[in-house]
Amino acid sequence: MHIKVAGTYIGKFGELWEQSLSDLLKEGLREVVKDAQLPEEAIEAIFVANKAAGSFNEQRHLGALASEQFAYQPPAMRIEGACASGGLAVAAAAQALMSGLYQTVLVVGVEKMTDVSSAVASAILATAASREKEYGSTFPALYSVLANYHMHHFGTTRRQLSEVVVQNHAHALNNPQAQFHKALTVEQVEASPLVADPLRLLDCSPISDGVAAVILTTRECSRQTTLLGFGQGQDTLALMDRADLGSLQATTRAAKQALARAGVTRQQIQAAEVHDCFSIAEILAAEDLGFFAKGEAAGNLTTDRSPVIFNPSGGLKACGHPVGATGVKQIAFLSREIESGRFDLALAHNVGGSGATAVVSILGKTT
Amino acid sequence: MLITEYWRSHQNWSKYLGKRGQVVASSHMEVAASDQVSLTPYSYVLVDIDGERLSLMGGVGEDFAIGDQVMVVLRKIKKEAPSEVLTYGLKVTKKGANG
Repeated sequence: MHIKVAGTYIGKFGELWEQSLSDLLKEGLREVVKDAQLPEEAIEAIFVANKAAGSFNEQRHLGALASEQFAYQPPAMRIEGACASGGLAVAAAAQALMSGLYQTVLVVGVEKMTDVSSAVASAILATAASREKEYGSTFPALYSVLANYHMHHFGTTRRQLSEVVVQNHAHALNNPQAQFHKALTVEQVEASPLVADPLRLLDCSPISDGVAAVILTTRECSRQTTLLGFGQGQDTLALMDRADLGSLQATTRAAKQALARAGVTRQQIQAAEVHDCFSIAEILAAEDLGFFAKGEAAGNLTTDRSPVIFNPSGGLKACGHPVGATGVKQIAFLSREIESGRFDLALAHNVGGSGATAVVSILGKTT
Repeated sequence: MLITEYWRSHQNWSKYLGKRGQVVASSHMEVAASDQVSLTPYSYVLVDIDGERLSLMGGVGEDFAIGDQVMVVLRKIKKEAPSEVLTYGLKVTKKGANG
């Protein structure tokens, strides 16, 4: 794969009361083109990642909304895969480039979630679970089922969940676009209100507004970051239909494909932006991506024994989780880190639902 | 829940009502989605019933642990709305599960 990341943009994540869905979308499109220093006409197609604007904002047809921001109205489509929408949109864009149909495309992820109450937001987010088989659940409930299972079978502790949160909030202090710039202690995490036992409020990624965008190209480009490989894994929509609740097999499948396509080993990876929608999700990701044996991540991933830096952006937990934007933000953030020289090889991991969809992308520095 | 979904779900009640099983995994929810806000706190449980897995809400006031014996019962599963009939559905309870 010879796909360069020619431009990146990450807007501020948070409760952005002054900005509408279309404001955020326009900001992402305008700023990423500016960053790439390309004429607008260079963008041959747009892939819009969004989970639920139809429910949050009563606005569907986001492809058309994106396309009309350009005078020549390039083809545009929306990609939806729950919280993995961003990773899927990048994968779809890469496939379009690999087919030769286009040479330069734009991927924008956007979500405007804070215009509804938290109970309504929970109900909208829960539509990514099985409507027929998981009625009465929420995503915190489904991940708390996974957390309880992991604690029961592998001895993961409440304190280890908290340490993941503390680390991600520490990382976010260095990310100006992060929703939270607040260092937390284990004690603060464990004193926060219970949401779904054992997960507390501070174990959960927030409800966020935000936009992120990248421009991918197969043309000559002065940027050094290359999308080396990607993979997509699937699993059953409902947790109850899975043989093993101790891991997310979609992640394992996606990672295997991505590493093979990139032609690298996981031992070469220096940093990983993983899908920590809840603290337990980062522990599962660290194991399912193969960085730790099963049951070993919780006690090690926040220590200097960890083989990679997890979530240098602050992750979903502290950077924020505007659902459709998250997977695109991971690619944009790691691309910037690679351009800056901090890392040479990095991995992005984006999950939809309780692990029914996972996308893994590998980014590296090439000249 | 759409009313059409609710009526379709009736078809499965007779298959599971009164069946006994074992808890595979569970959660105790303090925060719920809009349909269940008035029912919190409640448990959400994955149960094994004769080798088949089900995900169901737990009975009011009950906590569940992995390995608990449970029975499937009919209970209220969402808040009442003026435009709807009372919405009942399957839940699990430990009461009577060992009897």
